[in-house]
Amino acid sequence: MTIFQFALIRSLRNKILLLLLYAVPLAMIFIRPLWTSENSMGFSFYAMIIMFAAFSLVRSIMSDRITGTVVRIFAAPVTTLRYFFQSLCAFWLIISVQIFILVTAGTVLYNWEVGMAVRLTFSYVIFTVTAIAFSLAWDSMFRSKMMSDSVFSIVTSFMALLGGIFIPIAMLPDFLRNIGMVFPVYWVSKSLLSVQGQETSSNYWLSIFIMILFAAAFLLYGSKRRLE
Amino acid sequence: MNNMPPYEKIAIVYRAMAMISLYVLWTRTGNEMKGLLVFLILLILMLLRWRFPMMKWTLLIDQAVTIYASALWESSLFASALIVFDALYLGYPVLIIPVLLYIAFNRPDLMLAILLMQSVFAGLSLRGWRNQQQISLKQIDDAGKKFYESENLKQELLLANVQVVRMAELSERSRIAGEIHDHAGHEIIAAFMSLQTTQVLLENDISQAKEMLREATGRLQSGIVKIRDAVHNLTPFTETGIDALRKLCEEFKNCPVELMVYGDPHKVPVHLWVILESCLKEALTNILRHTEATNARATLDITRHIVRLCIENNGIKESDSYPGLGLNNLRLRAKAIGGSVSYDLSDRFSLVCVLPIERAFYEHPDCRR
Repeated sequence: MTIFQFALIRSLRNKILLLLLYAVPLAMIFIRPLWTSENSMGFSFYAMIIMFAAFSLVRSIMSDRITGTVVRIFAAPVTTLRYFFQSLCAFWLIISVQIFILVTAGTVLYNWEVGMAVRLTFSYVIFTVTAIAFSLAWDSMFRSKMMSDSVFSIVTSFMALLGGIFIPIAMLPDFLRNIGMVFPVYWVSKSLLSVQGQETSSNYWLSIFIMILFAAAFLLYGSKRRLE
Repeated sequence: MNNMPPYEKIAIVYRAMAMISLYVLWTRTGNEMKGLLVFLILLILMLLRWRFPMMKWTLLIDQAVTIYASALWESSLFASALIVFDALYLGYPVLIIPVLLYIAFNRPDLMLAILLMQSVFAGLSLRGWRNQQQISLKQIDDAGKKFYESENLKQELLLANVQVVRMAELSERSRIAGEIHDHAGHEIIAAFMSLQTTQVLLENDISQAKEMLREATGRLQSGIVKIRDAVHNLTPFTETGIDALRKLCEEFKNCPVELMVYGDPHKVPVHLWVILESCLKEALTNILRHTEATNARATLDITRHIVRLCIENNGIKESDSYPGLGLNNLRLRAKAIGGSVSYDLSDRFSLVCVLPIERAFYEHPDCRR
């Protein structure tokens, strides 16, 4: 598990990333109105934080590709599957720890039920996988970090708008809702609505399933070996 | 994406457009969850085939999903256009039979039929283009392979030539040693023994000593004759070495060619004279063809390690023709033994050939094989 350990250490070495990963969510959990009101947006805002965290973590794979490090890695007896699996597992672990800490804090502070906390954790963990896969697929399309970052910020804002982050899904017109359905953010919002009791349980599992399908599609696209 | 062949890029664009069209169709015709699930499953299977080209059999799963979903969302059958395109482009037309049969017997639709025909046309066209490109690439690869094989063979032949020359030298030396030993050697040894006996007999028996002396003289004379014969037989009838170069210069009628030799020609191995002779011939031919020279000079410098032949003339080059096959072959032959041939075609034709001799040659790694 050398690659796993190295990806873990490399990610945690970055102080700005650590701030984004742990300080910001922990600060957010203490803002009561975000979590306790009827249409609390804290849950969906946190989903966007997971998306940005995943994007920041997966950038190291893009750096490896641009700097040519990946050529040296693949000169060693390391399969593509092993490289991606261990790297992505490391990133997933980092964000999962963050989720666990946040949900635990929320349960303590706001007396969330255990069932709700479990479903919330599960929803966020699955969305982490989808976000990491999306970031991997996204980075594989670009050769320049700056272009990747700038286009990502534009696309993410659209995703957030159409995915029920800034505006609740129920308030979106049908036409925009249909467009939003192609983004994984929409489905995490739907699953969070189910957790909060505003949607049925079947919608919760359907959202989880669709997020898994999205993750599979993004992983298939992003995991192709690209040596430059 | 940059290294992808053009037909592959067009196939990707076609598939993307098909997926977008399917999505738009879904948004307009009911937007049930099942439709979105069909869309996602087809997308994943398409990506799976792109990622792992061996998994063409997943086209059957595509068809199964499409046929099953058509019971819940009628427009899902339009996805079969993409399946038909994929199957034909990948070269497995047999795989589309199930969905075509289902459509023909259960859901005949004119619009769908037109779409399927269009997919068939697109798939077959791109497939044909791909096959054509692959055939051309194979032909280029085959031609390249033949070229490299012939170049390797040429190199091996040149090296073998050098080795043959060396073997010939060794066998000739052995033959000469055998001839001298077998014929003249015996006589000289016998004469020496007779003279030794004569020295002893001089003190005891003068008449016998005189007899022995006469015999020894006779044997020495016989030995001298045999040596003379051997030398005469070993002398080649045709000119070799420096004599061959002089003869070439004398026989060149177009303009006088002055041959200047510096160093000892006997140091130059036999196989190098062959190349030097060829260089001089080629240079004189090029002077004849491409310049209006009135005077030419050939300089042969022989040092301990190299021999250098330089041919220059005072003519002006009349044409811009590039060096022909002869000069290129000379280059290859010289290179094979660690030497070089260079020429100057800018103003007047001049040629310089540098070849290594003796230790410098025999220490060449390729020649030690």
